[in-house]
Amino acid sequence: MAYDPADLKLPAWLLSLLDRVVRLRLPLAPGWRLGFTRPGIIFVAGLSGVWAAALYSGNNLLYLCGAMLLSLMLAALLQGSYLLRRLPMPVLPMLQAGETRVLYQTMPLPAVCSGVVAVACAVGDASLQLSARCHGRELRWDGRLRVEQRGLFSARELLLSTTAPLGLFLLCCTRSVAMEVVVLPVPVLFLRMDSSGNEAGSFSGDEWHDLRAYVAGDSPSRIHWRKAQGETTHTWAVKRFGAAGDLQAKACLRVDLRRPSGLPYSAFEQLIGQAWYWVKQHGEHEDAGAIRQPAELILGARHFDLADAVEYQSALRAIAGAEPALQPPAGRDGLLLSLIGAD
Amino acid sequence: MAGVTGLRAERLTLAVLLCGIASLALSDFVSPLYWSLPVCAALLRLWRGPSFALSEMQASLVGWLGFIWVVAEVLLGRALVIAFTDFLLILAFAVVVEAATARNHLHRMLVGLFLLLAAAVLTDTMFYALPLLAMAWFLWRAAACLYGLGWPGGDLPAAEIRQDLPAVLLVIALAVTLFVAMPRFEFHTLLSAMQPRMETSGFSDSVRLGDFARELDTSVVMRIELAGSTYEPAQFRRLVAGRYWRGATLSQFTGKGWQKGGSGRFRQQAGDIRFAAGDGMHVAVYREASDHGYILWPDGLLYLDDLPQSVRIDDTGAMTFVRAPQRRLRLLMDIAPHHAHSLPMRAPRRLESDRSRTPVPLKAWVQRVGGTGVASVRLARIATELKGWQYDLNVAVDAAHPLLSFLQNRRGHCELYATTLALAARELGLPSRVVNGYYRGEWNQAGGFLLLRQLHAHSWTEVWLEGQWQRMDATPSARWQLSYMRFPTLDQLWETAKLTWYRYVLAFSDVDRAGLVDQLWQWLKGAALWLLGGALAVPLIWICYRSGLKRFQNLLRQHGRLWPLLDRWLKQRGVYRLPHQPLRTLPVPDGIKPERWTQFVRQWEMQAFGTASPWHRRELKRHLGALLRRG
Repeated sequence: MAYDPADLKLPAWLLSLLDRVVRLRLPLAPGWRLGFTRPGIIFVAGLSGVWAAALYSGNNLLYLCGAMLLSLMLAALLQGSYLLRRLPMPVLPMLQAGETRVLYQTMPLPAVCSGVVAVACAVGDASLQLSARCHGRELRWDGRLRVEQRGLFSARELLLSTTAPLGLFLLCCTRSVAMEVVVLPVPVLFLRMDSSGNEAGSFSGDEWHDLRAYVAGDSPSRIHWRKAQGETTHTWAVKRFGAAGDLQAKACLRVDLRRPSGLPYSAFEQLIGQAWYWVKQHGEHEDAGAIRQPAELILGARHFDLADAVEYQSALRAIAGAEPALQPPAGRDGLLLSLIGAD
Repeated sequence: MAGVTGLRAERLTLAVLLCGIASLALSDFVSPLYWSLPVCAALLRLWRGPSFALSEMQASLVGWLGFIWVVAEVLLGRALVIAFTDFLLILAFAVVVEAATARNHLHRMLVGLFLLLAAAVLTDTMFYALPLLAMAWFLWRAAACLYGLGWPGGDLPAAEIRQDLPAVLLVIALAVTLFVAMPRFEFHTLLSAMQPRMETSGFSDSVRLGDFARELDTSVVMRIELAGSTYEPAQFRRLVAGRYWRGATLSQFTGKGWQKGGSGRFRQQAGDIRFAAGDGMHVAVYREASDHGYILWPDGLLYLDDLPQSVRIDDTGAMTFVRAPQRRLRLLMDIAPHHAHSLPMRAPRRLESDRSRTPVPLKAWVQRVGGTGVASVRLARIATELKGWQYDLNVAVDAAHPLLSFLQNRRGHCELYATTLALAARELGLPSRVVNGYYRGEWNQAGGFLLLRQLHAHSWTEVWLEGQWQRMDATPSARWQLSYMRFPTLDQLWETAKLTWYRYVLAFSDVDRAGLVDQLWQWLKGAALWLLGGALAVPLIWICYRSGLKRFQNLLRQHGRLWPLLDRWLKQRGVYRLPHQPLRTLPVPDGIKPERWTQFVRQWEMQAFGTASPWHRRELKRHLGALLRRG
């Protein structure tokens, strides 16, 4: 803190006493709690002294000073609550289990305000921590998001807390939200090998038709090194090779969600990871100008046309939230991914 | 901490500290040398930036040296309160020149606040409101910048003024509400606002005739306003304006001046004191801190309400605080409409008839001017003679024989007139004495109150006639025609503002709050119908305004002057638009690239139906020109 009393070289016992008070949270209203920061406690203690002097002496100038300082506190409280009530929610990106995703997102603010807000929400067993830095009409979200477990989570409550605008209190509020957090599985390399060991139906001389994002397990020879040289996003692009005819043929993957009773759950996760890998390869491309191969995903009983943006998003949600099923996959054509017979 | 030099709050925290220094500089206890020291350092700092700084250790050393210096000052005899302010300002100087670490910013804000609080005790001037308000403003902005220092991204930049303005206005509104609402407990401690006592002459137990002010001093001594609502302001003015305000009673003539002479019986009392029965005007007297403890009271005093300190009342009609107060006081009095004496006064004693020190030439003059007859008639003749002389403040007075020079010059100031008349009365066998106080005063039309300045100080004579002390004033009336104000209107406004400050800030009490609430309630009752009507009318007007504005805007957008211009331009490029036909349904005009046309249509729709600001003719022309541009 800028005006942390620790800067004043206070004795250790006093600082530890302050910390005990700092841990207190006073209920203000349903969903709202108030705590104090270290400078806030010092400020309140000083203010109490001013008021005691004013009440004892009847000196109206001390009354004015006390009233001004108390008003600063009250106005800060009101502005803090205003900030928490008006803070727009972040648009969380899709996460991948076990991978840290750095969020750096700016968005316009509906009302002019300044301050930093810490936001926490529970996602499965993990907790996502974000900070919103508001200044003027701009809001910037910062956070390092990491969830270990795949799933389609729904965050129902957000805990917002801020010490804005003066750093005297910690004002906390719980906001009910309906925020979906999609955590995709770890992609598992899935190559349909031909007899030469190349990706099936894909290699045709030196011609490659488009690029896709690098995933662990890709051959280094397929990385587009020249493109990676000027890349600032630290993601590698991998060349995809294919015959012109293949591009027009519709790829189809059928995922059998049945899990034999003897197999561990990790095998099912492996299966879903492979499906995700396949979808990443055939799904929506960031580069709108790239040639896109039509692809269809059949996940259990559900069909998804990956060329369609809406269905692609639905497919990702379905993958994130996939659970073992009892029924075999729909359809008959296409590549089948199944655990049946794997044991 | 050294890494945070050049914080965005650098100027703001410096401003907080300067507000504290300014508030303390308002105190008359503070030496200008000491407050100018941190101010100059702060200005240098603002000019040169954070590079103009000492290390923390060096600044700390400056603070310690200052402490030692102040201790030495105290040992050499400097008053404790002044030494204390000196130390605070040296401390402020050390903080200003300290390296701009986060701790230094904290020091600046703390010291600034502490100086403001100290000033609340060491001054009571109206100007105190200015650094207080400025402090609220800068403290808010500085804290709002600095508190983010611990977060990613560091301290926040200072917000725009218009962003912080509502918050600070809210702070001021809340502060005023709290100031009015908080209860008052008057304990009269040392923490009450102090001011140096004003020096006054003629209000001591010993007065020398040659020792008087040669110039009219416009310093204000008291302000008197009507506190009750029984009397009209005009009536109050008529009743209060011509009164004598009694101070010191001097009975013993020493030959060169007067002394109080012998200690009479007195009683000591605090709280409420009733002198006489009856109803009168309830007035509030705002008394400046003076070097004497006299309570100046008017003719017809009935009641003194809630005296803040113990007073001593003697049997000559003098009322003094046991200890001269070092702050402004509000005294509440009830005054009878008539000018009757209210304090019981004893019969004359021997020293009030003492003629042993009366100069011989004066005795002869009394016999010559008084003529023959009854003593009271002879005395009246002498008073009439004196009133015909000339009032003069600058006449040379022989300090050894002041009365002789007065008789020769036939001009002088009021003490000489009062002394001459008093001694003349004694020569004629009538006990007499001199009373020092104030007379008349100045009516402030703007504020509706009476003002007593130092120049209204006056001396008159009291003579024992017909079994009671009767006032006789021999000073020529020309005394009250002397002009002393250069800008009377401005001065009236200024004094009104000061009284408002004393009345509503310094002397605000629980009684005032009750009065304020009562006034508010009466006002609300009186304006209830208007308020109700307003509460209904304002939303109605607002709704009408909004809907009217929307319709008007729609009218401007749909049937504005842009469509004919656009239609003409389209026609030139082979496109004919039907009325009310949207642009997106039209073919691409000749010579325009389809992408550009699509973008133009989108922009047009955004300004016409979306959130973008509406175009004017010039903007439309600019966009159309851009469509035709090559490349």
